[in-house]
Amino acid sequence: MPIYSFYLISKSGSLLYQKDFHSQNSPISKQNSNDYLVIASTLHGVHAIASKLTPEEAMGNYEKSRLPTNSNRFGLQCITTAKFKIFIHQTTTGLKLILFTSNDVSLIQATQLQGQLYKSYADYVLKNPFYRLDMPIRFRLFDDKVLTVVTGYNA
Amino acid sequence: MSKQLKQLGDDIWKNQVEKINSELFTLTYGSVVAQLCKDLDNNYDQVNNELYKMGYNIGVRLIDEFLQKTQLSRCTNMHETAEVVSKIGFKIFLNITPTVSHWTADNKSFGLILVENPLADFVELPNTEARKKLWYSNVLCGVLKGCLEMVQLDCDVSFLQDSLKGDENTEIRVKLNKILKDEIPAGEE
Repeated sequence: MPIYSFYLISKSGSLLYQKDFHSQNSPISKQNSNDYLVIASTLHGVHAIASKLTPEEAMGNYEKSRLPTNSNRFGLQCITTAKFKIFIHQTTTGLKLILFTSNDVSLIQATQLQGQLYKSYADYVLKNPFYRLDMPIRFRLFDDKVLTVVTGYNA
Repeated sequence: MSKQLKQLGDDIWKNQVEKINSELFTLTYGSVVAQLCKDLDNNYDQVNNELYKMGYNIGVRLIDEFLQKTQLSRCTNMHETAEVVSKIGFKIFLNITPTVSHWTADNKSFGLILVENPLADFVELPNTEARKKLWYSNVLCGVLKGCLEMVQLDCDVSFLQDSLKGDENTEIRVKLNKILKDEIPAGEE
């Protein structure tokens, strides 16, 4: 059940962090840095549009499947393609944690992993005195932690 | 509800929080305040501001750790917010539980009475201007302001009284100005 990529998007929609993970037959090919920005802002926009499109009758379903930590109640939660899945988790502060995974990863597993990644963000990014809010994240320590969390899961 | 919150606060405090020696904490904060007074030539209004700003910058970051540890979602009203701030927020970061009191009739403003204040253990304010003007623990107001703002609650937070100044209680006043509806992340309401 490999994890292919991890994105962090700020509440205003800018890309804070992006990482591809090595994995055999990953369907995600390397992009240039501009394309990562495009992917991030597209997901941010589509998510906002989707939240307006959720039909009244479906609200109840969302409510039921909703996990308490995920403030992403009516927005885009998951995209399933033939080759991979995209999970979008949003915190109450508006931070989006996005995972690209293989198809056999379930919503619960993804949420669990996103929870752990959120913890790493709170501990190793926000507590770093050199980090300024809403700026791209470039810290070795955070890189290492993310990698540990993801490889721990991939193994 | 209130009992559950207390239980949750206790659990997180016991199992998830890294603790430091409280005396070290008190002394460190004391040195910060003392140094600020020195640097700003005992201009206590400026010291208050500076402490508030420091708190604010802590608050806007601390809120994510709070959300991650508590796994709570948005509160539905200010009463709930007040309970969460006191029974969980103060509990997990300072191991105290201020009493919520003095609600105004419009339910938008409440007081937090700090029976104990770990920042101010061993502290005595000199009987000068400091005693009149300095809000020694003003960093707490900043933290609250920053945290609440990040969850789209625009509030005024300030000290109303402080036992260090000879007042009866130590009380922080929180007043909701408005809910920043436009800034609530998409997909929530």
